[in-house]
Amino acid sequence: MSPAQIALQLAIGLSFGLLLFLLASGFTLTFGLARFVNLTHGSVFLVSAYVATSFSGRGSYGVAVLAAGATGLLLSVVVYSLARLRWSRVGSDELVQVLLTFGVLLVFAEGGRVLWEGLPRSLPEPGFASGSWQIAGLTFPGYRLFMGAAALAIAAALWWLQERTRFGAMVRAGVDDREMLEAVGISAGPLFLAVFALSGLLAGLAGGIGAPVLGASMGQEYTVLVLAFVIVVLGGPGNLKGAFLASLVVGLADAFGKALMPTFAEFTMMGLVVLVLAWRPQGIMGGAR
Amino acid sequence: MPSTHLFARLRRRPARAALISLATVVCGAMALAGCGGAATSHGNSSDNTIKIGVLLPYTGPFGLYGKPMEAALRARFAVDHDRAGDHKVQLVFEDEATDAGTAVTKANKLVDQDGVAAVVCCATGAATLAVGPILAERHVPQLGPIPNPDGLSKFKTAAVAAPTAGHDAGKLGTYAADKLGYGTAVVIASDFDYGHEVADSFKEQFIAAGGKVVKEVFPPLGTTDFASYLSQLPHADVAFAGFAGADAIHFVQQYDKFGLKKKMPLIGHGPLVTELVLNQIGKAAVGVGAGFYYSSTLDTPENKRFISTMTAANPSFVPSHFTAGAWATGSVLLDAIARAGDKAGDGDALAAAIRATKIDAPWGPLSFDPQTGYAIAPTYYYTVTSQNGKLTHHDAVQMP
Repeated sequence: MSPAQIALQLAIGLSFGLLLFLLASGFTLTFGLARFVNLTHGSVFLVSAYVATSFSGRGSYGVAVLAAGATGLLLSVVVYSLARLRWSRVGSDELVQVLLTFGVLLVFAEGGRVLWEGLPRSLPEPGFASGSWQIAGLTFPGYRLFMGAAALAIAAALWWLQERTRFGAMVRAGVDDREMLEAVGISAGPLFLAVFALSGLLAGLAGGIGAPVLGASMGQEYTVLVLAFVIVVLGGPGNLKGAFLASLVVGLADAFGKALMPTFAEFTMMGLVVLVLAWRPQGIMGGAR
Repeated sequence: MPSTHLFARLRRRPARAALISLATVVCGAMALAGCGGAATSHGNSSDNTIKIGVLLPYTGPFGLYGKPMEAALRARFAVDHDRAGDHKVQLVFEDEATDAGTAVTKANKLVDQDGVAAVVCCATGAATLAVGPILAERHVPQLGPIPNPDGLSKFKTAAVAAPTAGHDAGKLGTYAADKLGYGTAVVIASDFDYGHEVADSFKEQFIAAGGKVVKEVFPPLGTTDFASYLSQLPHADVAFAGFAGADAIHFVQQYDKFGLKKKMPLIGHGPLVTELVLNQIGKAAVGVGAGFYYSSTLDTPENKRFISTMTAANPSFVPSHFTAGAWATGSVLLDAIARAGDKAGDGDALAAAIRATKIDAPWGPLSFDPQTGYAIAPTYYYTVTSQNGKLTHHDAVQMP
C-alpha cells in the first residue's frame, strides 16, 4: 500500500471506529453499572436507524437524527421498565437477562420488519456533507469526516458527563462498587433508569448518524450487537475509556483487514479478540481505572 | 350458564389432570389431521379441484418477499377466475421463514395434509435445494418462481420459471467483452453461493470472449461498509458486481462515494439495481448497467398486463423480478394444469406438462429446457437513468 492509501484506510477505520464507540458506549455502561446484559441494544440501533430513514425525502437530516435518538431512548426505557417488573429475578441473574432481552430483541426487530416491510433503506446525506475530498488521486467522502467528527463531539460530551458531573461520579462509583454506592445513600433505581435512557439515546444517535453510510436493514441487529460485544470485551465492561480505545482498534482492524486480506476480513476482528484475551483477559483497559 | 360452569370446573382441576386432558386433545387432533390428510390425498384424483402449495418467506431476512409474491400469484389466478381447463385451482400458502428446515416441514405438510398436486418453491436458494429431493421422491412437481441455484436439474419433476443467475451473468460477460468493448474487468461479489455463481459465470464468459479479469474480491454477505475493499480495487475497464438486497444498496452507494464510478464503469447482475433497491440507492445508481431477464420497463403486452393488474389492486405496487416471477409461475401452472387435463392430479404427468409449457411471461417468451427444467428466456442489458427525480431502467436491449 502506498502512504496515501494507508492514510485513506486510517481515515476509513477511524471514522467507522468513532461511530462504533457511540454504539458500544451505551452497551458497556449498562453492562458495567447495572450488571445488565442488554441484548436489545442491537434492535434499538436497528429500529432507530429505520426511524431515521423514514425521514428521507421529507424533513431535514437533523430531525432524522434527533428522532432516531429519541426512539432509542424510548425503547431502552421500555426495556428497563420490563426488567423492573421482576427486578428481583432479572436484576441479579445474567442468564435471565439474556433470555429476556433476546426475546425483546426479536420483538423489536420483527416490529421494525412489519413497520418498514423488511426492505433495506437508506438516508440521503445532508447537503453540507455530500461532497468528497480528493487527495493524491484518492477520494474520501465528506460525510464520513462529518460522521467521525459528530461521534467525537458526542464522545467528548460523554467524557465531560462521566468525569465532571455528579451524575458521572455516581455512575463511576456504581461501576466500581454498587453496594458501597447504595450504602452512602444513593438509590440505584433512578440511576439505572438514567443509564438505560442514556444508553438508548447513544444507540439511537449511532443509528441516525450512521444511517447515510450503513442504512437500515434486517439482520443489522445482530451484526452491531456482535461489534458491541467485541468492543466491551476488548475495553473491559463499564470502562468508557477502554471502549473508546477498543472502538478505534476495531475500526482500524476492520479497515486494514478488509484491505489487506479481503477473504479473511471477518476473521481479523475475532482474531483480535483472541489475541487481546490471551494477553489481557480483563480487557485492554480493564483494571486500569 | 353451562359454559361458565364448565370453565369453573376446569379451573378447579389440578394442574396434572389439566395437562393430561390437554395432551389427549392434542393427540386426538393430530390423529384427526393425519386421517384428513390421507383422505384428501386419495380423493385428489377424483375431485375436480387441483390444489397448489406455495412456500414463500413471510418472516426472517427474506420475509419481505412473501406478501407481494402471494399477491401476484393470486392476481394471476384471479385473471383466469381460478380455473384451468376443467379444473378449479386453489392456492395453499405456507411460510418457509427463510429457513431450509422450516421449508422441508411445510413441504411435507402441504403434500400430506393439504394433498397439493404441485409445490411452488422457493424464494431462497437453501430452501429450494432442501425441498427438492423430498418432492422429487414423492413425485410431486416443484416449480421455482425466481432464479434458483442450479441444483434442481437432477430432479425430473422440478422446474424453475426463470433462467439461473449464472446464465444471465454469463451472457453479460460475453456482452461486456464483445459489444461494450471492455478488455479488462474487476469482479467483486458477495461471498456466498449466489455471489460465486454470478462471478464465476461472468468471468468464464468474459475470458472466453477475449477479456481479462484483473482481480476478484469476495466480501462477506451482509457487509455494510465496503470502503476498504473499494479503495484497494485495481484499475480496469469495467467492474462487475454481484450483490443483492441491502448489500447492493451499500455497495453501489459507496462505489460512487469513493469516486470509483467516474474512473471505472459499474455493471452487474440484475439484483444489483432491481426496482426494489433502486430508489434507496439514489443518484449513485445512475449509469450503472445490468444484465438480467426482467425489468419493469420492458415493453411487452404481458408486462403491461402484469403491472396494470397489480397496480389496480395496490397503487403503491413496485414491480420486480420477484413478483413478475410469481405472476409467470401462475401462468405456467394454469397452462400446464389445463393441458394435463384428467392427469393433472398425477405428479409425473403434471411435471411433464410444466416442462412442456410455452407461454408469454412479463419478460417475453418463456419455455423450459427439457433436460434441466430451467426456463429459457431472453436476457436484457439496461442502464439506470434518472427521470423527473425518479430512478428507472432504460434502453433495455436483448443480449445475443
